[in-house]
Amino acid sequence: MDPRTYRERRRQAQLSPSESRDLTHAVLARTTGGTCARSHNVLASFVDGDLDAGTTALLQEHLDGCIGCQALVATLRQIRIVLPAMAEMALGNAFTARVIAATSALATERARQAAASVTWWTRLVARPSFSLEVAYVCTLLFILVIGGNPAMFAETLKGKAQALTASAATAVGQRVDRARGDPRVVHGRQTLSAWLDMAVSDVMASPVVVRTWLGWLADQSMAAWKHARSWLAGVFRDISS
Amino acid sequence: MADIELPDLLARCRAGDELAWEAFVRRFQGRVYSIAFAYAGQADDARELAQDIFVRLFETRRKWADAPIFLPWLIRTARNLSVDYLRRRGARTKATESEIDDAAELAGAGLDPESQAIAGSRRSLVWRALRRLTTINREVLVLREIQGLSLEDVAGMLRIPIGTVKSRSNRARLELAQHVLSLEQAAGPEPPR
Repeated sequence: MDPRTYRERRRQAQLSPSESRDLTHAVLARTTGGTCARSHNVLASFVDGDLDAGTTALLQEHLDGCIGCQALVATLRQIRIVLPAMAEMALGNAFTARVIAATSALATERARQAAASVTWWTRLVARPSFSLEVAYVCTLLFILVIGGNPAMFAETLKGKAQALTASAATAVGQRVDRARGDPRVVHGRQTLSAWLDMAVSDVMASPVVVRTWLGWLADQSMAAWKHARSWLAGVFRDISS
Repeated sequence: MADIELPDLLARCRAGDELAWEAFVRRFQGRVYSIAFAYAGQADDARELAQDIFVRLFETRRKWADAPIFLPWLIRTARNLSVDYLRRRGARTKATESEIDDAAELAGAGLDPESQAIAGSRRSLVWRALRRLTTINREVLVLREIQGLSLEDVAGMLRIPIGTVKSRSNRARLELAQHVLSLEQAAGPEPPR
């Protein structure tokens, strides 16, 4: 065969690029269907360079024959540059001035409120009846803290005070015993000994003093509680009537 | 003249230095406004929201995060306040495309006027395409791709797994690209320059 005739026949047998694409699409249409949906799943990773070599090569072949996916890849590459550039938007000096004005007004208002509260407090404290009111509130709080049973509170307090004074008396007694055994305490030994005996007996007697004082405290708080209760009952009666 | 270092700026703001506060506003207003714009969708609303965010930052300046983690903290704070704002307003997005076009602030700084116009028009197109995404996809793109937060930060903020952030970001970018293409096709070919 004439070589020129052979080359001509061979050339005619080869597909043009558009014919090749059409054939591929025709085959895919009759087998797996279009592959664009599959390629879309990996286009973003392709643009990021996160795909393995095999998938990249296959996708590249698909892109060579798919104009739609080529356009998507080009847009994805643009977006990759454009998105970080959108992190900041120029606003100008007018906005800065507005923010500064708003926050300055806020700071001024805060300062004015602080000054006003100081003035209010100063006037409140300067009133002649302030100390009386404070005393009343403190008494009321004291009663509320003690609760409905001042006697129980006083009993608890008494127990703790007695334990404290007993341990103090023991400690003082031990010190006295050591002082008596000290050879340096010779001169005036009788006087010192008598004084120490008196100190020990005073300390030992202190629980009695504490008991007396606590009894008075319990009586007073109970009386205050009863007074407050009757006063509150009167107030409620007035309100309800 | 070199800008003041961030740790120093933050310390001065915490101490009540008014000049430092002004410098702070200037330094971060572009970023805060961008976040506000992404959520509010309208230039006027975004300005109001950005101002509210700065007032809130001013009120809480003694509790700011330290410099190494300040930017992610600022973005998270701005995002949370934006979400609150939209919840108060009653709708997540009500922007129209013309309003986005009207946002003259979209142009970036540091470019010559022609490049600035091209870049601004490109960004305007992407902003419009962003508005067409679902809220969650838009949030992922805003936080991850625009603001550049780490996968961990975005996952923590949106309370979704890290893997979901990555896959959602890829899907959202593809959707965004498709919307950009359709907007470009709708606008027709660019006139010859």
